[in-house]
Amino acid sequence: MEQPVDVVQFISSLLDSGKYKEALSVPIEEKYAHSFKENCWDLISVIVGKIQNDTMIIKPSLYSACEEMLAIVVQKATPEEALLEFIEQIEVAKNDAQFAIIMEPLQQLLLKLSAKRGRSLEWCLNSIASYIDAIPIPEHKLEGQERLLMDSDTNIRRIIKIYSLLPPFYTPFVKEMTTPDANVRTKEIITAFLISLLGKPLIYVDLDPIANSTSEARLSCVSIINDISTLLKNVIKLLPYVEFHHKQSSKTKSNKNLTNDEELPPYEDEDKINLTTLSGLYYSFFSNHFQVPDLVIPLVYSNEYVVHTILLCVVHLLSFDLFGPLTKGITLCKEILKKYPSNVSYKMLTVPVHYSLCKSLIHVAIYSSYEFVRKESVKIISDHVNKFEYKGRLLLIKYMLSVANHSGMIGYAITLYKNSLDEAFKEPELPVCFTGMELKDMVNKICHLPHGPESDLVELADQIISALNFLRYLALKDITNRSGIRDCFSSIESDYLEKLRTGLNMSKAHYEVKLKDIEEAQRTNKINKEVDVAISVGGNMLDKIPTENKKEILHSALNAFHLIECLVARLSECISSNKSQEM
Amino acid sequence: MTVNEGIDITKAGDGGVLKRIIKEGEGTETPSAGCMVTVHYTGTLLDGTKFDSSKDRNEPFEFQLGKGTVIKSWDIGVASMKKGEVCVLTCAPAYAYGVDGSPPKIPPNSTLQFEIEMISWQDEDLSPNKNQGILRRKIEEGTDTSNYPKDQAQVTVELEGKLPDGTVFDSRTLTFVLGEGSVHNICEGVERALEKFNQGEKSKLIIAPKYAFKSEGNKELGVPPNSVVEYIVKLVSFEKGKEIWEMDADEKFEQANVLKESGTSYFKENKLQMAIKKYKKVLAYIEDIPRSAVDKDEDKKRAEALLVPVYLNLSLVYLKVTPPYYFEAKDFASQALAIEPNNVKGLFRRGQALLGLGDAEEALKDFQKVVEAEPNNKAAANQMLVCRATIQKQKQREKSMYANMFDKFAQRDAQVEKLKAKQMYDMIGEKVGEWGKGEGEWTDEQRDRKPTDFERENPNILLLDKDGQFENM
Repeated sequence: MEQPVDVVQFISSLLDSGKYKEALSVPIEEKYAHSFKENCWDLISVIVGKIQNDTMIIKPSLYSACEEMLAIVVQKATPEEALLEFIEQIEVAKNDAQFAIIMEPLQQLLLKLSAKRGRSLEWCLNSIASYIDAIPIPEHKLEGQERLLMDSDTNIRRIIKIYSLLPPFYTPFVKEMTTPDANVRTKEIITAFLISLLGKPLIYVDLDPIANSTSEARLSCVSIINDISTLLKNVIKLLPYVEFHHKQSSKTKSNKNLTNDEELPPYEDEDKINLTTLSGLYYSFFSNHFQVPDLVIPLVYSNEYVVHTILLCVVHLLSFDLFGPLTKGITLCKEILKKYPSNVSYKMLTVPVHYSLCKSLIHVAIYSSYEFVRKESVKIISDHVNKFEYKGRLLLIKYMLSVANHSGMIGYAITLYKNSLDEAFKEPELPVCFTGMELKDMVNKICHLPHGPESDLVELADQIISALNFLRYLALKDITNRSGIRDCFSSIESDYLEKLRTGLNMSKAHYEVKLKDIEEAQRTNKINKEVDVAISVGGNMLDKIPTENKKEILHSALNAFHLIECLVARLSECISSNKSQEM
Repeated sequence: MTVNEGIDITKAGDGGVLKRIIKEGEGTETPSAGCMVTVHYTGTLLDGTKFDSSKDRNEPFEFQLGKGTVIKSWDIGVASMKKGEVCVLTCAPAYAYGVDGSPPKIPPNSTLQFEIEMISWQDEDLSPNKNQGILRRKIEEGTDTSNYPKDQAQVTVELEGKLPDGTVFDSRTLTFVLGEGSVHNICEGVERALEKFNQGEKSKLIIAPKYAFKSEGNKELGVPPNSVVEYIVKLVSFEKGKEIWEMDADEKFEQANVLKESGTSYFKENKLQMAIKKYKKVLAYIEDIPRSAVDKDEDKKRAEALLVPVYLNLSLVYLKVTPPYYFEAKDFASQALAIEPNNVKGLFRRGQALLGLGDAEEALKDFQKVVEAEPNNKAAANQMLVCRATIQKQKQREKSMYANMFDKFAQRDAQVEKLKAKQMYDMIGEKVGEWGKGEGEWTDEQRDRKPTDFERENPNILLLDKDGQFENM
């Protein structure tokens, strides 16, 4: 008998030495045919291993030889075995070119196996998903036009490249599912996979049409949207899963073990369908950033239900720190609130999502590192509040006053209150929630100095200024005492203004002394040595600040004090003129 | 518009939803709230424009009835349909998409027409894996539809349990804590279902053995192994998990009362930590009412009437825990006394706490007040004896402690003086001069030292200049 040749080694060396024709003819030669068939398994990894990211450019002929070779393998090999090996190769793929070259043969095998595919399609999709999941997420802190630069980031390029490979791969399977006798579970598995594509990493990629309406990322997203629409037919169908996963995420992990013994339905599989991927889904369908097929949104659902549930997604998106999810959350929120009816009854506030939305927006407005996001969320806060009728607005504003520990935000809430009150004055009858005890309670909350005269007036400046503006407005506007503010004046005077004046005098004296200290020290120490005056804002020591800036800070604080003083004086005037109307 | 638009099926009778049956359905049963309903529909505007149809999607439409997921007219209309029925609903804007419509397809203020065919429905499945283990059919809707009892909340229910053959095995009204139902022979299925009940809701539950009494059955109730059970359960009241600031005064009181009751029952079972937890919740609900400016006077009175017993009970519980928390006990008793200065129980408990803290004299005062109010109170009289004895003992101890006090003080003072003297800088000590270390010279250490205050004030006495040097050196 002839010395058995190791076909794998043989083909490998032929490929290495550039003898592509010879290599491709091996499977045809009769003497190798049997052994080729036996060794397909090993061949796959050897061939795939030859591909590097630059092979396509440096050795295009090697690349096409490998492609052809894999196609032959698909034909000759036992499909089940080859399939397993290809799935394995996706898991261990070292670069995107290897990943890319596997896609087609894998698809061919799956199509070949159609009847007895079993769960292999699911495994394939899982492997692909985990490959995608491993791509790192870039973050560049870019805003505005600069965002276009993101497209040249290597990882973004990778994401886009891989996403562009996917639709050709899965399209035939989506088609299979459109037949009436399609397996429901398989359909759900493919849908779940497609939805998972809208989560990480796509959720971090800029998809805003204003920035770049024809970006490749958007194109991939559009094709995913269309395929999801084909499979799902009705996207709102998945809203219960938003609630489900929302509840799941707030539950403790121990509960999950209970279900381990039973197989989870595809939509409950947390790897594929979770709050993030569903948020990606509803962002794509409801943000108005994409054209959405006509029929996928049935017109029988109640807007309240749709909005409330999608707001859960918004809250989730706003819990990220990165630009991608944050802008998506903001856009989705703006669009979805348009669907919400206006003048909603305060009873709707029993749905807790309103409060969590308000809290998230406050958080983003204060702490986000992106100016755009901060500004937008401030706008949305007022849009959201103003969706409700007066009583509801007040509940939300009270909530804002209680959660926002930021003077600027509290000031903003006070301004919102003032604006609503102004609107309410136009009504023939002032709503009850703006009068009497309710008003008194609100005034108490607004005119609040946490430590009496010793409160840190610099930190509270925004709140105090808004509060004084509000009171002045009311004193001037409500001459006929429709709101009952007149009954509050005496307590405002004794509990608030008096303390404020004392506080102002103390703070002013204190800051002036500090300013003098610095100036004195500067005069004596000509060499501009650090002056030993420490400044603390809201309890945080600001050290290592150049003297000039320290002076600036002190000056701006003094300015704020002056402003407050003026406002206090003017307010007193207004109050007494308001009182004189009584006579 | 056709003349025969059908009959008004709204509760308000405002003609908002008109129903015209095209094809009668089978039987008499209609789906109840919570069922998963499957229908086909076509929706048109009044001018005949079709805006949406499930038939165009080639897939029947499924939704959960009565949960507000669909427009109001649907929740009302579909609930009235029998299996196989086809009808047309004419829905006024208020029962559809309202003033704003749903752009772009539905213009503002549109009346909509739906042709709906009822295909089927399934009873609502409350089991965790949707395996038909717990089915619910509503008999009476609850009131407040946004609130459900949470795990560990106390619930009051009326229930009746039946076997498939119609034997009633259980019929009670009882109060228990969700999650602890097994103690009261309440099966898992009922507890799980109750977490999805509204206040006042009455429903029929069909529970598979897995969520009922499993393969063991229940001898006490007479449920054989592996039997499906059927319950009719009404949720009478429950402890709400609503945030405090969302509630108005009445809700707060209602909650506070429920919590107080459950605290007391924990106390009776000697679960003191749980009792404390519940009582403290009561305080969280209503403590700020008597002080706030907003609330009405009658509310303040109500709050105080509730606070006194809770403060008293807390005080008692803190005395009962091991080791007793006298300080807390005293505090809570004082709070009760702040509202009712002559409350006998409060006085007595504060007395006990004070005694525990070792303040027998103050305790004695409290007990005295008790005896003044209730001359026959033997317990207080006994406690007074204890107090007196304690005071006596304390005096004894103090006596021995203060005996020879002055001698002791003198001794201690002398010692302190000595120590101080040692620490003082020894100006003319051994280190200076010819007997010192530097052999008549100043050591560097001595030269560099700072002058003492005394030296600075009297530079001439030791002939030292300001810098600590001898003037003439």
